[in-house]
Amino acid sequence: MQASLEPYLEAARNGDRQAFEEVVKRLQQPVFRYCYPMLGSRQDAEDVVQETFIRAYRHLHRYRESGQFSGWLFTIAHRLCLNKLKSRSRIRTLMRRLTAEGDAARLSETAAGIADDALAMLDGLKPVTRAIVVLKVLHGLSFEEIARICGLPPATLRKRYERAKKQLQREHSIYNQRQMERMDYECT
Amino acid sequence: MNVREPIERRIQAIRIPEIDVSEKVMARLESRERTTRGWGLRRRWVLACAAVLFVLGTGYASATWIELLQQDGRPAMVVQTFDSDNPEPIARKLAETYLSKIAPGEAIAVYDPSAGDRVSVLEKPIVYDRFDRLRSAVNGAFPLPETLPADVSLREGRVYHELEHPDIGMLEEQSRLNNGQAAYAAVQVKESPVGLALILSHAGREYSVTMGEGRVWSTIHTDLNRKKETRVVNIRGTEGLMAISQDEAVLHWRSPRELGDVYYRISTAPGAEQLDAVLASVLERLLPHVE
Repeated sequence: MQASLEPYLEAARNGDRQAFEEVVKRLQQPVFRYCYPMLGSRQDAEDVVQETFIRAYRHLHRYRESGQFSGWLFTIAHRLCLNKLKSRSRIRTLMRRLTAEGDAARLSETAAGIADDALAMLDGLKPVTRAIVVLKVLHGLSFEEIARICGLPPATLRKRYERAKKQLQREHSIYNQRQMERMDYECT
Repeated sequence: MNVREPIERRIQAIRIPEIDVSEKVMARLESRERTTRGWGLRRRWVLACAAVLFVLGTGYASATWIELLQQDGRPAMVVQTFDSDNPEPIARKLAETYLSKIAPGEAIAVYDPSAGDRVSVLEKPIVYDRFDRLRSAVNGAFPLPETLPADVSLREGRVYHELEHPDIGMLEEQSRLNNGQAAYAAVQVKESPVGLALILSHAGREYSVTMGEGRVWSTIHTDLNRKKETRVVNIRGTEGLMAISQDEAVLHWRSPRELGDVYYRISTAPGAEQLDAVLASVLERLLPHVE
């Protein structure tokens, strides 16, 4: 995707708006795929995606030095997500989630249960750790690639990731235990 | 539900909705550019109106672009015609109407669709009739002599300041809600001086002097088609432009860095003999002395 994106980026740098719109169309979903689990709110994630592309457009000239455009976009999105998380309370996040925004309603009950459960578990992680997990698990990036986005050494990221996995696994077990108890109760 | 499912699988199962924000992004970019363009115009207006005497009524014959050089050959300033990005200021009468709405020391932002798609920001400065008080208000921002020479007297002096950024969107909205009527808003005046306007008396004639930061006024936009006569003059090795019309004679000159890098516009009524020398002599009386 990067190779075919280059002509559009070059044109966008020269002020071609249509070319930049094409860049947005191609990369908005991957960026959203990072922002949504980070923020747990579709509206907030969409806002951050928009802001990410606006900032990218304003600073397109800087991308030449950084090399991989999507990585550069993720760096912008990462900072914006952290800012967003700082500025809102956790209670508001939970409230948003409880209102089951948008597409949650379209999910089957089971799938929705899994998604909400996973989002809720991610919400229990510290923002930077959450970013590491999302980039590693949902985007399949290497620790070296994540290091460029988060600005932390790969070794630190690896440790945090392993700790996060253990924490999530513990929460997952507790969740499973409650599910089992609930199933037992419904059966009796 | 598979309760033994690895945690990675559960995260990967998060359903990510499909989105399309491209139209919103492009609309916001368009909107930001409009604002930037508006700010560009406004900024020019802050400067143009901060020293409204700079440009009102000035112009040059048969030229669209004149470059003036310093002694070492580097550009001192450029004088060129108004263009779409640097339009002619609103008429003095209209500016006075707006300024009548505010008190001395205040500023106003005006969006009047009937006067073109631009926001004018006007300051109404305090008028000083004593040079020492004017000098104190300038607070060293511009090089001024400690006292005026004995043969020059100050009739009026005004100090113009940097102004806050007006909310252009709010002004446009206010105008839209009022069926396209002009919209006004107060603008905060900052402390830093950006220009001076003096009216001086010397040898029985009256002179209007405007001073602005040279780096800001390195390009002067004016109407180059209204002057009867223009010629390049040389003052202390740096070129300036003399422009004479039916109503006034104007000297434009930008001092080199060692003299403070200041743009000077000195005008008087036409008709005197040796106008170049007369205007240059007034300028000399304001320039700092260099050992």
